[in-house]
Amino acid sequence: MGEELKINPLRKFLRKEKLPHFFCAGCGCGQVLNYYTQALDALNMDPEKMLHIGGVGCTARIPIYLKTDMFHGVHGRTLAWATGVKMTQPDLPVVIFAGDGDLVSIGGNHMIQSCRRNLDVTVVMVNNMNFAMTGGQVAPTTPEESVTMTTPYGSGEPRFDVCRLAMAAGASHVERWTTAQPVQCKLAMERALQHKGFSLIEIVSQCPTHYGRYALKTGDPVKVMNYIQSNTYAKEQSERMTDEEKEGKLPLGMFICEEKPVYAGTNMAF
Amino acid sequence: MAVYIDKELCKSCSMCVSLCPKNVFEITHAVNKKGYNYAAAPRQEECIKCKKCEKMCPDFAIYVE
Repeated sequence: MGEELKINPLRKFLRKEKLPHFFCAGCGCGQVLNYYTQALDALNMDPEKMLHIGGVGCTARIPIYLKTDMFHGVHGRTLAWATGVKMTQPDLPVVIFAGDGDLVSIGGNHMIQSCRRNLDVTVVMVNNMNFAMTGGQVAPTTPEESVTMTTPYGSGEPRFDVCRLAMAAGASHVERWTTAQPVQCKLAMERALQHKGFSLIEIVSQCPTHYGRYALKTGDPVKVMNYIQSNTYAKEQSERMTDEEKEGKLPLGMFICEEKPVYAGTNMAF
Repeated sequence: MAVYIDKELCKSCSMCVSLCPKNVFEITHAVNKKGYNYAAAPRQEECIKCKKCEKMCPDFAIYVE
């Protein structure tokens, strides 16, 4: 063609030498990274003055591609680290990227306690409905009757509703969206970055490589995305829907956003 | 030229092909350094600049001017 290639300006937030990234073709984690950089760009925030934490899993690889200071390592202990960082540097913005395996299966107790304390962090949880990095095993967030690698006759367990858990535990800002909604995801991340207190953004994401292959028998990311869209509904519609229509589906939207005292080592005034 | 594709970052997920409302993209038979058949935008004059592809590309490969 001979013309100069113009690159996406949002790549100024990314480490050039790390691209192309490690995620599979059509993975939702790459899209979440894209939405997050859009939110950073809209808020004019500098990721070099923030801390990003990732545990273990596909989603936890997201901060590796950002030009930022980051922790990466212990499975499920992202919020324990964030608590320690917030004790010593309360003004440092901390953003956590964690998958469903990281946050609600092995790190479930850390999440509940951090919600209860209302720790001032932003958690972006990418829910791809299985343990994708280890080969597509059944996870607490796998929908009922889904075929996965370890449940060849279908999962017999009901799934976890993470947003309801976080609300019950006392989180002050909880939202759920899907990767098929770029604008809503970006605006939710902007609200979460500006919110003072524990913000949980759950993004239901497609995993064409494992969940698509085992449960839906397709490797097309758009088909998996359509499956997710047909199994979710906007929470504003819930009054107009019957219980049968809502069965097995997840509501989407902003569930709670309120001001609460933030944990800073102790909430008692000395 | 309005749609730029960084062929070395494309992973041939064909999300842009399926999501574009004006059918601007298609997957080529050419291969990039990583071995993927990258996407190209042969029908750029139809582009309405909704930027859906740019916002949703998982690989930061697309830029719409």
